[in-house]
Amino acid sequence: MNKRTQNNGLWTYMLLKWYWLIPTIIVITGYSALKIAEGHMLASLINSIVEQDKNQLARAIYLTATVFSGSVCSFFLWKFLAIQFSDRLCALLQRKISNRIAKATDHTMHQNHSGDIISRMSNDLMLFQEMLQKDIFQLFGGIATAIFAMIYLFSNNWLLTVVVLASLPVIGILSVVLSSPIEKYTQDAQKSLSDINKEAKESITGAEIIRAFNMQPFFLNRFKSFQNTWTTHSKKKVKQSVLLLVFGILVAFIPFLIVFGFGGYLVLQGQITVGLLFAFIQLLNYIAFPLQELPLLLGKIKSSIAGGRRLISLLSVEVERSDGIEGTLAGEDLIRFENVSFRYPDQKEWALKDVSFSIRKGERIAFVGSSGCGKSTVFKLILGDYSPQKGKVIAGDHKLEEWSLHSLRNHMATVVQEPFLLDISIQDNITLGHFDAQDPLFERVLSQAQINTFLSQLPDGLETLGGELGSRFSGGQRQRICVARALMKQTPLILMDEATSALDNETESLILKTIRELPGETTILMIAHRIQPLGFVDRFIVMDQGRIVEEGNHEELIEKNGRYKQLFQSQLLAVE
Amino acid sequence: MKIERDILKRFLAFLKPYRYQYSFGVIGVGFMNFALTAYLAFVLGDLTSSMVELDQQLLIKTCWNVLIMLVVGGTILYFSAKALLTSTLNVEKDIRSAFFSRLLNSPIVQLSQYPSGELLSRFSNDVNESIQLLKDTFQSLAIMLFYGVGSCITIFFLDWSMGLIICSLSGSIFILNLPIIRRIRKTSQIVQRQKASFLNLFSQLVQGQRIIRYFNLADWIQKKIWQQSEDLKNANIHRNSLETIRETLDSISFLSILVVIFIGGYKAINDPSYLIKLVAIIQLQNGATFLFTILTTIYSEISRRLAGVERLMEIVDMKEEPLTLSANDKHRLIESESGVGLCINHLWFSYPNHDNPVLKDICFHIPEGRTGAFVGPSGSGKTTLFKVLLCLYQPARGSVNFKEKNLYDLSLKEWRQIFTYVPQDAFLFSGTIKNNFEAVCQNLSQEKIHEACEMACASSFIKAFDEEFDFSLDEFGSNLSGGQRQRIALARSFVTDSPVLLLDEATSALDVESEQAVQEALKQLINKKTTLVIAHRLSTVKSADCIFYLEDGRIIEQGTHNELMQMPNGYYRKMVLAGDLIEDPE
Repeated sequence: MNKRTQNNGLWTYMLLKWYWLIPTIIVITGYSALKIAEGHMLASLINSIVEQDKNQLARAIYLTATVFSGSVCSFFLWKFLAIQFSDRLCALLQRKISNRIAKATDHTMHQNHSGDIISRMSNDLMLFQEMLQKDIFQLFGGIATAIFAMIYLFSNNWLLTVVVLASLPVIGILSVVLSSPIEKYTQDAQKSLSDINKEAKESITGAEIIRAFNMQPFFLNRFKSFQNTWTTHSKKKVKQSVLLLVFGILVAFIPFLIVFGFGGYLVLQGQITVGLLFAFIQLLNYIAFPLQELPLLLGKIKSSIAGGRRLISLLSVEVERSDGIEGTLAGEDLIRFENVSFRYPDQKEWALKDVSFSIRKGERIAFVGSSGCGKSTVFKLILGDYSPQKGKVIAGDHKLEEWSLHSLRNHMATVVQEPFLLDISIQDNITLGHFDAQDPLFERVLSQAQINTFLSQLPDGLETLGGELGSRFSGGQRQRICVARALMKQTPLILMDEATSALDNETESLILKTIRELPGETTILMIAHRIQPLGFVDRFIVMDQGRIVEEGNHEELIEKNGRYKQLFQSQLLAVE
Repeated sequence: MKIERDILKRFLAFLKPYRYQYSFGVIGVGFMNFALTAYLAFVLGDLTSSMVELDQQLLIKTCWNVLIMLVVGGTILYFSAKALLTSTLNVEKDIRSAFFSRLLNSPIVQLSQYPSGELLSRFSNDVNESIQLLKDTFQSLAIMLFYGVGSCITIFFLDWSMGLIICSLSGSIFILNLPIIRRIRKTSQIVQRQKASFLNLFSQLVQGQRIIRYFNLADWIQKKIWQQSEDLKNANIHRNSLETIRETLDSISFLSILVVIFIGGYKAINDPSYLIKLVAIIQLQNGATFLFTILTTIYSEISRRLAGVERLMEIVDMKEEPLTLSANDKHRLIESESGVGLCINHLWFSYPNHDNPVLKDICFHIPEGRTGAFVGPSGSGKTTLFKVLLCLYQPARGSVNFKEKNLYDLSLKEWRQIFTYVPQDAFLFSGTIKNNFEAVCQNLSQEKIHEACEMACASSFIKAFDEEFDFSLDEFGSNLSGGQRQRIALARSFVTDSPVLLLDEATSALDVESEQAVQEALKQLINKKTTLVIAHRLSTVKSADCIFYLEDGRIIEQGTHNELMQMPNGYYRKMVLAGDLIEDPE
């Protein structure tokens, strides 16, 4: 996607709330016009004083008060509308993005680091919201006021206007010249500051080693040298920026000096009134504004737009298909792989090579093999995360591509490798809102998954919250809750990927016993690291480098004297 | 409030060496802000009268005056701003040094109370916030005092009735605003909370995305997110609307300008000489309104930044490790059996503020040159034991003797020189490879480094780099492979002349080639020194002279592999049979 279309996308999303945006723009235009009117009123006020005309003064005051109230009201309206626009638009974006992410493909989630996605939703969104609420309108208002002011001044005395405006670019150029070295000094200082921070980071992470090896003097020396570099650069920066500051203040007076000198001369000549001169000064501020603030504001908007683009790109991530039919997991073969070869998108290596097997109803099957052999990939294909490039996967009565993913997953329960808890109560984590605590099934599942054993240690029992990403529980406890969640779903097929790896031997064997004693029609597929406790399974499928190398029960495979025996024995060796 | 003042006082101690420079800066900047405006106000009066009275001479003279004033004022401003910024720069440097020194020298027990991200954020953000207090907030305060208060006084001086009008108008708007500001603060907290719960929900969505797909939970979580984002939106709109009301009220305070012109205009019509005063008052009136609008900003800024100062000082006020540990009788419980080797007697340790000891009455003796292996379930105290031996944690009681030396008689530095520690994950830091050696031991000869690398099987890959030993490492040495990092860390242990090796064996295997090299290097190291190893491999425990089985902070079994395997109900035997130790591929 090129830059232009992405940029267009950004503006398109802004137009989603056009009914707030357009009134805001109209109000701001009105506000800018009223600002000019204020300047005009100032001129007539001063003229009436100079001309000692009490009636005119009273009239001018009355008009000024009216204009002033108008501008206060429009100011309030501007801000109010801008808030409605930005806050509503951002809430809309939040929802759209969440919706998209919830349906994103496995591949998408792999490509994007989760921390990155979350940071876009927090930091980039914040920048973007700030820009929508303040910066763009400030920019628009500033430019509008400047244009109006220019028109007013020109129509009143073009000569004075031209003389004053001619001085502005000179000032602009001078300040650019003065400020250009600052950027370099800032970068240098920033770089040494990041060195200093790096040093702090290393001294924190390496705290133990640093003390154990008495490395403190070395680190202190290095820190000091970074610190000195930083000081040198920062001092240069201070000097230059103070120069710029003072210069800025002095230079800001120049246009006013011109107005007074040249304008005063014109007043003496009787060409303009004293009041108009003051109006000139007032309105000159509005023209000078873009010159002073514009670069800063534009820079801010630019970085916010970059943030907005990162945010909105989340709206175009690839999502899972939503079509397909409602199938049933019936028939002799629950799952069948026919000559399946598969590789992950963007990867050269085939993850599965010509894999064929079938699983009958009620079987208990374990996939074994060293890590990276393709076991988890088989599970991902069964769950419909990916479609194979060659061969086909058949679930029940249909090819996997024909199933609706929603329906497919309703037929299977999964325990994934990293046990994940939502930050809701343990009970809700297990039932997912489908059952209540009194349900006999729930009671049974609690004891089957060995949750009862640690329930009493929890502060609020079943009501204990999962905590941020399940942080309140140990790995083993989380695994047991996830197992319970899968059992609770009561599906004909259960997939367990290393579901007991974090458990101690005793708990593991209790859970495996539960699985073994599940009703006979439940089909169970397991991925396991250790073979020994799995003696009860009907069949092992042994994989190596993306291929199925052996298949059969324990005795058969031992007899075969192949990869299985090798795996089994290397794990057994420890017991000799 | 008392505590806040106390913290501020300790913080301002950093300013002490630069106090003259800083005060000159702050006062100079504040005063010049007022002086320039006040001067301009009177010049404007002169200019106006020159125009009204058509006096060309006065006009030219005034223009010159303005120019001169600008040059003089600019110069003063330049020096005072420079003094202000330079002195705060120096304070920033000093604070950072003090902070860094705590990072290096405070006891681990204290530092580890804070997550590392927290420490880092204090090091960068809170130092920054605290400096902004000096640089920004105090400057605004000075400007407020000189420019704001000065303008008010001058107006009163020119025409007290006008002063009364201006101050009461601005003041009443300020009072009107106070309850709004309080509510803004309250709603801001609500917004923060709503934002946090939204992000919590969203990160659950992102991190649990697979579960959400597999269990068809998209609609369910979507409903929650919808609700949460609605709440967040409403809170946001509420807060921002209040903010708008405040801004609008502030803008009304310029209403006083109208009143001033109206009353002053009538006065000037009656008395033309009043016009000069009027112009000056209008100009100075800005300062008076500024005084009231800035007041609340400064107040909230000070309280926010003081929170940063407080977090900063919490670290800076930490005590550093003493040079020697004060040994009391508890640490000399038993005069060592004055045997050779490492002798630990009745060692106890518990974390501060925790009742349960982590190490309970640990006693063991490892003769010089021999190897002791420590095994046991995770959390049994093996790693803690190492850390106590390294004096990263101070033992509560018990004695540590090496050869004839009671380690309590040594300085902390000498104590740690007895041991060399090889953790599971090698820690290298950024800089050159050579730096990583020099940090351990200054004035290290090139030969010694070469020799150590040769022994640790690290020479071959180091020599393959163009820069050889000057090859520069990224943070944590992340541009090397795990095995290469491990080997450099091992070589580093060779250059120290420490007689005792504390080795925490890695659980996960490296790539095959590195694995063999690292094992080879380790064998060299173990043979050379008295070794304590936290073992995860069967081969390691088998070759150890003595095995110690720890559980719950106690040594409950000890002996050789064969001895322990013969205990029918032994814990060690059970562990080996369960296959909890890694078998090397032979």
